[in-house]
Amino acid sequence: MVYKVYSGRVGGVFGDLITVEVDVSAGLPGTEIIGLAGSDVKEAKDRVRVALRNSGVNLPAMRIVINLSPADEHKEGAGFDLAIAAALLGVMGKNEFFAPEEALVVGALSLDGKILPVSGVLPIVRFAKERGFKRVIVPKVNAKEASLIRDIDIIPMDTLSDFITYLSLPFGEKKAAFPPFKSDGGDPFENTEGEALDFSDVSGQDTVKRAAAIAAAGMHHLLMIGPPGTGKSLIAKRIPGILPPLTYEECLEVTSVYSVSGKLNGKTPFMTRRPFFGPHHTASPQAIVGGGGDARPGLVSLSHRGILFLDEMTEFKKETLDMLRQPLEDGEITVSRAKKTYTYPAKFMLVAAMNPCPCGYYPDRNRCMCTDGQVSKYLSKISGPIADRIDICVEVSRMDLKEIAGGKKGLSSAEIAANVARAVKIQGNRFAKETFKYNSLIPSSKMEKYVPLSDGERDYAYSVYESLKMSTRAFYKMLRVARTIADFDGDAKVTKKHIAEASCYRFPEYMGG
Amino acid sequence: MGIFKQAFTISKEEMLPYFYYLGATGLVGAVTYERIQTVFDSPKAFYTADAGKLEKTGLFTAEQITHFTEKKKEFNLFSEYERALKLGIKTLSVEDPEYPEKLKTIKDYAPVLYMKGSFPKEGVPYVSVIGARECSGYGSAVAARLGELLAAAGVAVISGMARGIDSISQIAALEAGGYSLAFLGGGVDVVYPRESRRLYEILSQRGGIISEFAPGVMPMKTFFARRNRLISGISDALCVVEAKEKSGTMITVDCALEQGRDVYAVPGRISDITSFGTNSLIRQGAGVVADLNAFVEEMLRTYGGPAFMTLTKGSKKKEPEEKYLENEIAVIRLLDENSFTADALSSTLKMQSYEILGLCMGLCDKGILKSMGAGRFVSTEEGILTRNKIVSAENEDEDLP
Repeated sequence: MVYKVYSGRVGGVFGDLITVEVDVSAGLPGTEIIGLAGSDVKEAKDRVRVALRNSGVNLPAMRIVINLSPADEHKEGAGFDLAIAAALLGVMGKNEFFAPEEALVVGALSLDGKILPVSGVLPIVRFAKERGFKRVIVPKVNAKEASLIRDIDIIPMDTLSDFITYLSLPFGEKKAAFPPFKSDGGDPFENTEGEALDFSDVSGQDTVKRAAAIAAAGMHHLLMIGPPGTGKSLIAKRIPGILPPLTYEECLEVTSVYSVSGKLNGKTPFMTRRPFFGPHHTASPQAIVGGGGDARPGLVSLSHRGILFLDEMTEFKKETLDMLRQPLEDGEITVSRAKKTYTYPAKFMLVAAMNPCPCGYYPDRNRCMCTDGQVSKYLSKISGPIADRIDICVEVSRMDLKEIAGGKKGLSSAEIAANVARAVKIQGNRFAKETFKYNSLIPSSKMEKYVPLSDGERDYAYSVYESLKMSTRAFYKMLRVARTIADFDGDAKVTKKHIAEASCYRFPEYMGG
Repeated sequence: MGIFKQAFTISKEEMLPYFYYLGATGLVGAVTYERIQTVFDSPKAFYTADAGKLEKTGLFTAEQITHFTEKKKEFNLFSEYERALKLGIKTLSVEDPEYPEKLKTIKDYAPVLYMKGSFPKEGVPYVSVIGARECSGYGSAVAARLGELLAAAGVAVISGMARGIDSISQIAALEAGGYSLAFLGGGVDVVYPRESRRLYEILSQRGGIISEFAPGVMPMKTFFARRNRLISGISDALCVVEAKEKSGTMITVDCALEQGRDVYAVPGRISDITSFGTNSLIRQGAGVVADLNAFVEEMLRTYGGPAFMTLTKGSKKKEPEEKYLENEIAVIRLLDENSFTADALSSTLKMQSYEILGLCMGLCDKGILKSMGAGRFVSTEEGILTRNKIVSAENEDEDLP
């Protein structure tokens, strides 16, 4: 006799169906789990047996074979425990009202029968909805995270004995006894507690602040160059505060990544804020791009839709920086390990900070005593492909003490955020029919369409191109930034002043721009 | 300097490959060269002599003889010479009439020179502009202006193609349509430093590149010190723009003094280490370059033939006086040779950052500033001149009762 229950797992950030089949037959008593199960899955047989006994159900002394299909794919984790328990109960005839083909079951078990949270619930629930399942049984702790997916019943379960009760209830009574989870906090997106850092804390540095705001508005990658202690990190940390709030779709994407990396808990069931990561420059390439035995997402994926801040960018190993090439180019990263190849999303905004030379004063030759060799060696670490991706580059200079003492406050984050939000909205309307949503992603083939220039402006742009001896790529970068500046200032047309300002933010000449 | 006894019994073309070999050994300096002449009738005779014969002369150490014979083995005389010719590299022996007269007369002259490009026309004054690799904004501005003015006046600008002052002055000279000549510390087909590739290309077309090291020889530290004597040797006068107290530039100055060339120096701020060398030269009695135009005129008067008696007025286009806005004048008044970021102006101007950027870009259009990217700007030569004009005009106003 065979009983089937459906469960799920994640591959990358996508859910995947696992069928748990249980057969009970006469023979030597014993339990076996087959279907390329990892050792943590194999151990489920003891966890499930003990948990069931502690919840009042004894397994029959018969030969039990549990198969996880598809049988040719490696499986890991304790997330199938609950599904295995459900299938065992089913084979014993205790699931007459369950309708296993309509439900997907996830959850780990402890020996005392408590249902424990698992990682990757969100992608699994998302998958369940796409596959047409009507309800998902999830651990209670994961319910809030799962509730991000709308129009599917999320049934939270706390203990195995609850689950046994649930299984035995007739259909009519199930809903009353175990109502589907409803988020109690109203709209989850209102949840924005926690002190945000404000731009008004940074005195002076107007150009840098404006450049950061423009970068945020068009999702342009930003590089800040300046001596240590001038406020580069201070500014970088404030950029998430001016980015537009996550949309529902974006929230799902971000939460999925966090879900599979097991970074969610009861306190933060899902991501409502844009992530910000500032890895130390000694971080290993695996930590940044992802990896490890089970090919986990790295920081580039954890900062998806948020900010990856590389402080002291030149101190990073060249190999580490070069690994950013794929995510910067494609917005995703493919991590391959012995058994798996996963693709994780990695659409982050790169914010980098660096000194212009080992001593920090270059190109001020009156103070910088570094040799040219030292400087070029220092700068060569971020050569070519990475530099090409950086649209906005700005110098952070040492502040006049007068100005700091004067306490000249710039715009607050809220004011900047309003401008950014407006710019993002304009872009959203402009690119409604496109796959990209930001000016920074306009392909060069569509420049004419989205950054139309009148004759006067075009002549001016060409004269800038000529006089600054730009490359074609740099020229397009300048136009994209000009488009964003116009959006940021609320101007419908890109004019000379926008192009002029954009040209100031280009990669500096002394760095081979 | 002597000549080989048989120098004129075989044709010049036939002899050149042997001279090429002589230079390529890397062991034949002025002294050895003259020793060889006492024994051998021609460089060909020297080339064909075997180890035993070389030893019999008693001129060479055993080590040198091994080196000569080794070199001969690995060296295919004619194909190497042909290859160099194909690359446009001429071989100049000291007996060649084309070999610069001034270089023949220095004590440790180079018996063989390799050259790409050409010499300037007869009678042109040679002024070398040399200085520090790591130069300040001030230094690079002066070097560029000096290179441009000298070139416009028809003076050949001599230097070493090194980073900093050397290459800046040479680029400026070539861009002004003038002539420049570089002496390298390696083979003339080896571009060093690599970033000077563009300069190298232009020099091989419109200027000249010379080295005493055979083609293919990689530059070495000691080679640079050696070639410095040639820079000073070929020059009528030497102008040092910026130099640290102990540097290659100061070696060149020593060579120049030994060879009896005039040395000039551009004064610098006493607090910059790149001024220590130049200022100490001035203290020791070097000519002071206080005004670039006057300096160029002096060069023409002293070293130029009758054709160069007066400064050939360059094509300095007289443009109508620009009118500047009040804010623009405020920016111009703050200019010096150093680059600056837009934020640095914000405390003086009390304007929004993007307005300052716009203002600066406007000044870029007017030729006052040059944008360097990342929000940094540097003043052009014209910017400095305009600042001087504005400041002096204001001072006059103040002097009025």
